[in-house]
Amino acid sequence: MTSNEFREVILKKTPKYSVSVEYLFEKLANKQGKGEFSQFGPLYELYIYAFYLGLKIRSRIELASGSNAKKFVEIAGWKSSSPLIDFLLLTIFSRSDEIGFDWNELEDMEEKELAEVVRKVVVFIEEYAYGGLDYLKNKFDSGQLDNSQYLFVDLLSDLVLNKD
Amino acid sequence: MASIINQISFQNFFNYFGSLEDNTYEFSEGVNIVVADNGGGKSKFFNGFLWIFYDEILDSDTKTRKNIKNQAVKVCSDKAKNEAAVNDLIECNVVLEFSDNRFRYRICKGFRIRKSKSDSSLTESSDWQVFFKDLEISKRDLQLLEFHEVYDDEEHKRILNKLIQPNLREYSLFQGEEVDKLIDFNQADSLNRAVKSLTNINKYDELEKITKYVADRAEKDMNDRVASNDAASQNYREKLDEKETKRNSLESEIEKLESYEHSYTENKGEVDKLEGLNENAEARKEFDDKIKDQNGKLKALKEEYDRLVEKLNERFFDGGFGWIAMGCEKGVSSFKEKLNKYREVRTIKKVSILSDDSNNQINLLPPDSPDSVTLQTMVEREHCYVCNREAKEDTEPWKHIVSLLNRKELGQNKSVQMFKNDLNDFFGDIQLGAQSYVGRIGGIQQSILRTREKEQELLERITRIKDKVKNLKDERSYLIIGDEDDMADARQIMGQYKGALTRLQKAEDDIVKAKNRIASLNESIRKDENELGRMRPEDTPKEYELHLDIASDLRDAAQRTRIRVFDGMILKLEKEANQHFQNLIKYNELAGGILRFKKNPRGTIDFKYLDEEGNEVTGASEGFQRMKVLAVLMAVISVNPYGYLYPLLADAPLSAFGQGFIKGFFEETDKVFPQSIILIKDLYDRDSENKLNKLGGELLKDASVSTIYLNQIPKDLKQIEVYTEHKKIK
Repeated sequence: MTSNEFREVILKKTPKYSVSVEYLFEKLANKQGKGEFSQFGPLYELYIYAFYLGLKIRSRIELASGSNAKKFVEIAGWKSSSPLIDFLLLTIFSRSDEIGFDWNELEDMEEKELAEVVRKVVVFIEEYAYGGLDYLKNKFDSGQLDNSQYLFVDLLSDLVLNKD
Repeated sequence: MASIINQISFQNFFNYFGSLEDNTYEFSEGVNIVVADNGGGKSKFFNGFLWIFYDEILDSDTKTRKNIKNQAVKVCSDKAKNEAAVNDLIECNVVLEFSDNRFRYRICKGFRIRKSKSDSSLTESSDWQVFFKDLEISKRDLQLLEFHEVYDDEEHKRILNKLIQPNLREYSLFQGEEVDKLIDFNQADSLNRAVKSLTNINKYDELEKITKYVADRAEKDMNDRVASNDAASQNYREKLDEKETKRNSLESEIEKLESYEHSYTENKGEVDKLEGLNENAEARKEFDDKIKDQNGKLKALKEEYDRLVEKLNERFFDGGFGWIAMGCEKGVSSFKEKLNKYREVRTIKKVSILSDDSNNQINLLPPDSPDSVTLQTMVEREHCYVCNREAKEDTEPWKHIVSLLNRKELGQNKSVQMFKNDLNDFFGDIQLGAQSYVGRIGGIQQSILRTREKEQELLERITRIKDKVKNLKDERSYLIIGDEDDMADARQIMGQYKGALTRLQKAEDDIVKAKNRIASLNESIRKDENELGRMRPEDTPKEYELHLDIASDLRDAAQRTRIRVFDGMILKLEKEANQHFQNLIKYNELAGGILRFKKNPRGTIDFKYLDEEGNEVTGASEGFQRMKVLAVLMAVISVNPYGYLYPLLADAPLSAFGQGFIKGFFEETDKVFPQSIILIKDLYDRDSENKLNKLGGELLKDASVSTIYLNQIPKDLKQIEVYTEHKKIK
């Protein structure tokens, strides 16, 4: 498998999300107009934000299988013309130990084995995104989300600065 | 003798709950005052008068007058309706008594309503049956005790007119702001109409018309008589025809004059109305331009602000900001470490694979080894460029170069198969692609700070411009009087004003020219008449000539008298108006201006309000504006040699105008109106013991005030329990 083919396999994946947080997409990511809270444009922006949020708070939550999980758009459709996907992959592959593979070993794997690694990568994305979404959900439900344009900036910023 | 209202009584009329006896107010000549706080029944009281005179009431919700026939359920006391049982009839009446020097009259208007079901709504007309009563008027001789009913409709009308003549009712019966409309100085005809209604100047017009008619008849009789005489010469008839032609021209000129005068009046009205506006229009336009400019800037800034705020979250993902990478330093360095390690392992792996190659053809070359093109050149030229020595064909050095060339090609082919999956480019591309995020990580907090600063700066700029616009608008508002700003923009006002001014000027010129032509025709006709007199046949009967002479003299005298009386009246009007005005405002700190009356080319009156230097004053405060109207109204009434014969009935004529104006008003009203009944809240003081304020207390002691009533609504009543209590305190 060439580099390009490997990248394609990953980008063709459609990570899932839990239906329990579906309403957050309506409330916090909606291109249709102004809402009560600061909002993201496309849905995947909230998803990626939540993924990084999950990483920051180290919250990785397993998704229930079956109808409780819904498929999201494929990764290739996430701001494909920008460096975002590269940065996302950078983040993922920097965590290869946690996901459970070795970069060099990848080069000797059979296609089946590679597919398993890619599956783990997707689960990694899904579970941290769920961790982040769950964090937002709890804040949202308990009315702790600050109704400010800087809501998401402050949320992430506080976590980063406090951790330092 | 003037008509004087002796008493008015209400029965279940709005919040005047109860019998007529419970709600009777007695008045006498001079000033009568009913003091009531808001909601204390002043307007309802006044509605009693409106019912008597116009069969109307003022709808306090819409501020419009409505026919009482459709308002009966609303008019009837809520308390009475609430207490009524099914089929109960409630009487609702207003009874007014007034007298002149011989009789006392009683006028009663009323209706009954019946509750038709037990749960009748207090406001729903369909839940009540209404029966209006005919107007009842009775009268008694002042010397006798008993009233006798008057049945004749004509006499009903005459008696009502005696109370206040229909054409004078608007000047005698008014409410609050209506005062301002009594004489609208912006409408050329308004003052003249008031003068005509309130003075006897009309009689002189009538006299002039009658004497002219008589003179014309006398002349016609004479001419018919002469023309029928055979002896009348051809010359006489020709002269007569000539004179008739001139007379026809005269009539047509008079008609033209009337149309010019009409145009003059119309345009004068428009010019007066627009004058004040135009003065400000130029200045306002300047402000408008500035405001427009600032509003443009404000709009652009707001858009920029909205863009910034709405797109704020995009900065997480935009390569130019990359905020999503904040706090990812460890991840990035971990990636770099892994990449280096991966490449190291990969190289070692590669070397070991190459070492295992039995042909030793794919050994790695040391750095800076010649590439395949250079090797090819070296083979062809039989020269080694590495050591710069000859390498002839088939010699050992030449064979070594050839083997290097061949080995490279083999090695390239071989490397493809070195790893099952070659991901070197995959990781390299990630590193390269993510660079714009990675490079920004250290500056993200700074970038967020700059964004906040930018937002703050935009907000400050927006606030500054908003302040600027507000200041401009405030300054501009000083140039606005009343609601004129609704009219249109300044440019339109300026255009309208110029147009009206031009038309006014033209009408004025036309009037002067027409008057000159009329004078010249009159002169010419007068000469013709003299000539005709000389040409009349000897046997024309003397009585015809005498009749004509007397009639013509009378006509001329009436004409001169009218002009003299009118001119005299204007002078008197001005004197009286200024006198009243000064008295009305004498308790006010600000000095008022001068009221100036002037006869205009049309022969009617123009009014101006001037300062001491003779400049026209515009934009005086509402208090002064209203006093101006009252002063002129009082002046018009005062110039009448017979005085005013009717009462003044006013509801809140001076609401919120200050105690100085009110004091002046009561003093002056007493001098002009034989009787006034004033409904007012501005003398009320809830906290004072007698419920009157300082001025109220003074008026209580003032001999010129005849009667004072105090209206009060008992505290803490629900709407369905409300009733008015009244107390005569003077």
